Amino acid sequence: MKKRLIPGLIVATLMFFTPLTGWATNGMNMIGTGAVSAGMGGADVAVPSGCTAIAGNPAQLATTCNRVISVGSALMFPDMEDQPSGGSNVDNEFQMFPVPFIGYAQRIGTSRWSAGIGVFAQGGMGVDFQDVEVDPVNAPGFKDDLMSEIGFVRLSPTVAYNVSEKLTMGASLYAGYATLKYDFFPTLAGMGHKVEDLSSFTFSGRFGVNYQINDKWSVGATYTSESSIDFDDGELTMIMPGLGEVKYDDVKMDGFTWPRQVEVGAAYRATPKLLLAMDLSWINWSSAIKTVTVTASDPDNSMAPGSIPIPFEMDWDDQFVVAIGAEYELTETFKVRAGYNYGNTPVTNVNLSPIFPALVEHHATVGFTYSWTNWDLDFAYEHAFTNTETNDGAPGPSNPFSGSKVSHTMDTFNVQMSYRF
Amino acid sequence: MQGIKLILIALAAFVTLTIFTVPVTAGEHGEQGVHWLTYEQGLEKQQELKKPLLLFFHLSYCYRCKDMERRVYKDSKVISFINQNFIPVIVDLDKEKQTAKRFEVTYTPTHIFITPDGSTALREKDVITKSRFERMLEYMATGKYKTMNFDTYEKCQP
Repeated sequence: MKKRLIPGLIVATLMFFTPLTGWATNGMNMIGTGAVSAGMGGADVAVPSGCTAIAGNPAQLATTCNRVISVGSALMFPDMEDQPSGGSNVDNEFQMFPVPFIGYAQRIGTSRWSAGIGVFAQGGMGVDFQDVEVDPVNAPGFKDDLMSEIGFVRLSPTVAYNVSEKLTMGASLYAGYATLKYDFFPTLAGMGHKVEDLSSFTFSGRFGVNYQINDKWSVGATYTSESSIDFDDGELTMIMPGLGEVKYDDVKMDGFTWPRQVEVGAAYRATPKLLLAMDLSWINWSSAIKTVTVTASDPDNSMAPGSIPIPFEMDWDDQFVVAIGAEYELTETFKVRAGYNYGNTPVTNVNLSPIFPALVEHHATVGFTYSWTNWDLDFAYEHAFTNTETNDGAPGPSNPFSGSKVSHTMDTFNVQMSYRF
Repeated sequence: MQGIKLILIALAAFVTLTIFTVPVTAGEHGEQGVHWLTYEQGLEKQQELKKPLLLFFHLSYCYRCKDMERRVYKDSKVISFINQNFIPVIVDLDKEKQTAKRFEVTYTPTHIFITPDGSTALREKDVITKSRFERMLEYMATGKYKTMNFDTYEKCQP
């Protein structure tokens, strides 16, 4: 009974959080988890962060030392535009994505070990374009929809150990659950389709170290392994010429991986009240997202092909991210933060698609923490500046968005409460 | 390419900031810091001087303890007031487990004030703001703990 109960609880928890995941902005990753990290532009590898170390540098969990619980959420408001070649501009429908986080951590007895567990959204993305001109040149006036929703949530038991007064190490196991659905011009006969209910479980891990050089300097690093996400159990609906609507009950997606990542960071206590931090990250999208193939089988019409492969050439580039943050203690109980985050878009122009447009590159952030006895209230606001890219690949069946111009911007609000006891 | 340029610019900006923001610490102003003793040394000293004990329970890697040290124990007024009126004792929970157990302390930072007759007058967990900590020091140093509790004392303050 117990053997079934625990995995069941894990699955239920992950499934509860997944529909709430939404847009992320370093590719498909969040720039930071929690309002403290977000307020610093995501520069958190060498900065003590309490419970959110579970999703950041797990080594930082060892510096928490007491029992602490944190709950919070980001609220993301993406804004996108799509202009097909020779067609008119379409705005994304209003979307708001809550991205919750919950974590608990404590020192284990009187030992040098700390442990924690958390559920957080690693990232995701989604668009909702309605009445997009499918082919303004050859089929003027024919409009259809483009929609996508990818969510990826992780449950992460974490342990951390104080090797010495200066060196801490930590590791997180990431049990991930991802969901995906999309509409690709669903009423366009012979080519368009609608995919629902794809889901996948996956495992990966993160290892982190932190070294306190002296009272002013600390440095840290993390390595995150990649998560191969084998989506299956989906459904695909397609209008086939002469057959009408055909439903495929066995749909899978191959070639979709959440990438490995290496981060290094430094923090510098410039004055007693001012902390500066900087992180550099490499996200290996080029080996994670290449050609993603949806394969649909088991049609409900015997005249339809038994199996159809639908490849999406994506060939994302690696991403280099720089995050800079500053924290200043205005009063004994009130800290303010500001940050900047840049990550080149991993999307390649020859394969640019309005369904998966992870385009924003520059982010500015501000935030604050108000502390009251054992409570902290954290808030952060992120603005991702507009980036516009054009698909410059040759037109053809494998590149239906040739010439399309896609813009992406986003505002995100983060709130977090922590209690130490 | 543009990304690499930006990373280099950001690196240069970070290094420049760290070079030109000169830290100010109590030590640089000639303060010697709090004259911390071990618990055993503190007890001996208390027999001799009859002053209150200030116990600071910490861990060397606890970031909240470092916050306390940075915000409060680096202040020159606080340092000299403690050195004049208290017997300051620092207890590392990893190294002095018996002392931590004796005072039932598992949380860091924790502060306990012990009167010259050996009773506990004040006990508080977590980082204490400098202004509140100064009121605690005054409350103990002026002997107000003999006639009222700290909450009442705080309410009487302007």
